[in-house]
Amino acid sequence: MPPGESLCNIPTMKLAWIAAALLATTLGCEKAPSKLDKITSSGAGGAASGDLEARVARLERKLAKVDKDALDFLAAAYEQRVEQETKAQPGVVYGVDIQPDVQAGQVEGSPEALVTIVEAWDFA
Amino acid sequence: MVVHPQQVAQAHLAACAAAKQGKFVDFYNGWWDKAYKEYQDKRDPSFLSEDSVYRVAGEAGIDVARLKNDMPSCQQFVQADEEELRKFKVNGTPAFFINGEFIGGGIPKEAFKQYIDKKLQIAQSSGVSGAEYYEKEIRGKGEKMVTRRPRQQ
Repeated sequence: MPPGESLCNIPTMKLAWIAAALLATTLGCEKAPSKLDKITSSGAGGAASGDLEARVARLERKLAKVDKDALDFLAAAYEQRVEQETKAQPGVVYGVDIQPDVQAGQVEGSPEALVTIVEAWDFA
Repeated sequence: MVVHPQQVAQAHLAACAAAKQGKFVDFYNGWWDKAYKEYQDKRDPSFLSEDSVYRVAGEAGIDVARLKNDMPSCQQFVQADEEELRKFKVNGTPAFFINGEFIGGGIPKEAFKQYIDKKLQIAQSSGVSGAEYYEKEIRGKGEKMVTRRPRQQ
């Protein structure tokens, strides 16, 4: 549109031509074939068959299985973690502080011994 | 070191108080032989009672009046023992640390001996004297655990 010319100044005939061109373009787009038109299945899950309810039910079953597998995995990992967290592990050297017990006389044997056994005990 | 003193709290306090008289081992052995064994054999809980504690102490040659006097002050010590073991995740008895290596539960005598021999061999080859070995090699180099604070909600 030339500078200074507004839409109101365009002659009626010119407007009609523009409108006809736009209409033709829109109709042309609607009728043009799309690659997506060829896709009829649900994609990754294989062919989609059955009505909507059946498909949803199938998806729910799949989801439940995924959930169960994930939960089983997490439960196993958690158990392993708890085991490590709640028990002293064999093969590790732990520096238990025995000085208070030694000073209190709760000790048996030579202070020169090369092996020290810390006993965790209960009187029952 | 005591894990769960609740069941026989008085006996644990008495063991600590007996140690103040240099009689820890006498009380410890006396308790197992004359109190706990009787309790097990006869299924009579009175053998684990406070009276039984004093009887065992008396028979072990411990000054019972002094023992009774010292027992309340042992509460803190017993709790500190519990805390220390909790840091190392010891939650059952018997349990042992042989030169710092954890053994949970009772194991055959021969297996126990093997652990000791193995640790003795390591200690002998370290060149560190017996008087220093535990503090320097085990306490000094071993895993030191801290009590984990509960998570904030």
